[in-house]
Amino acid sequence: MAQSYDSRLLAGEVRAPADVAIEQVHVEDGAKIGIGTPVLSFDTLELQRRLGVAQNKRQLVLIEGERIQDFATMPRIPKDVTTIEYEVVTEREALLAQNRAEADKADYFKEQVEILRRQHSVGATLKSDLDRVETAYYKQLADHEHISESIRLRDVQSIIARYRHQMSLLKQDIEIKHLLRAIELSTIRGSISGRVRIHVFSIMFVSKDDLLFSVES
Amino acid sequence: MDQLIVLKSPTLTLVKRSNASIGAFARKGAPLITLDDTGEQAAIATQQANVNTLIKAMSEFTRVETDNRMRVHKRIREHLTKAVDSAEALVRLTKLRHEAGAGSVFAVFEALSMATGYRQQLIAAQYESTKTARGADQGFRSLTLMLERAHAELAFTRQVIDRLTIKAPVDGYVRWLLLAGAPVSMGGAVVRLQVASG
Repeated sequence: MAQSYDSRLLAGEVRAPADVAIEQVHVEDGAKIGIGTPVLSFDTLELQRRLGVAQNKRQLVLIEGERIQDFATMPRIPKDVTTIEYEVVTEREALLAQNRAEADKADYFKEQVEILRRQHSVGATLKSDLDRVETAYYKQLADHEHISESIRLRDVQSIIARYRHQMSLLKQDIEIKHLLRAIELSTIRGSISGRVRIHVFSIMFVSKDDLLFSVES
Repeated sequence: MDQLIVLKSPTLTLVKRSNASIGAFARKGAPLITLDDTGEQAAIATQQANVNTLIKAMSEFTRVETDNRMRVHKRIREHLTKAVDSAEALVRLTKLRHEAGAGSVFAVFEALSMATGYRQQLIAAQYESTKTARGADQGFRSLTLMLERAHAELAFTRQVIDRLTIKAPVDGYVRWLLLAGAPVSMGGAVVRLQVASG
């Protein structure tokens, strides 16, 4: 497993924090260095690989987000509206039957909304979407109106999908940030000024606590 | 300066080959020891197979195939648009006939039902068409990303193999080295090199 390294300089003498390969020595033996001068870098091959994986996965998550967006915005196929188009006495009964069917789904709806509320820690937009759908759903159910296409269970499903997508994206962003920081810390910099004595060479593998370099101030 | 440096193994493995002999002069970058890479070679074979599978999947996911599917969708949409127009004309006619007392209300229902059916089919066809176009685009981009990743994994394993060859980090004389077949632990010495002065 890849490790990140702390670039602190210990009392003028720097030892390897772990078993690790030296990627590059940036300064000549005997050179003068100042605070912040890069002295040497550890091998970051595995970190770079993980960064590549995380960035690639982030791109895939973004494509998945497009699919979720498509799912939410695709035109909806209307129900049979024969009785609505041509005004006959059966219209009211048809709507009532429709509402009864929707009411049967209300328990499932409520359950899904509850799950979302419990998980609810990310995104104000998501929260307002959820509030809007829930309020509209219950209002129309209470008013005994026809449940409109815009607030069907599909909306709840797409909100859940968006929520999961946000979480995946957040996870990838955190992972990328962490890896970039670890790569940055793989370069050891001088924390005191002075003449540097280098004890290692580029491409060498060193063991934990091996002396890497020392600084004579 | 008679500085002696110890070159260590980055992993627990066996020495596959010694590329130098004791007392020999080695230039900076010269390979001294090659460590066993059986595991990495096996990983390369698996990763290459993965790349081949993805390339095959992408070749089957061609633009031509998507274009053909889109053409079929277009024909279906055109056909259904005509069907909707005809059905709506029939609805208007049956309504007029019914309101004039010459036709049954059931005929109106029947015509409405047919028109609604065609309209639904048309919306479904439009939906499918958009879905196909978007799906093809997203699928192709996903496969491209997966292929990029597979190539990167292959490159990574090749770099790991490259690092299993211990090279001289500086000009020097080989004072000691392990011979082929010798086991070595991670961090274990494989070569001792006396840095050439000057």
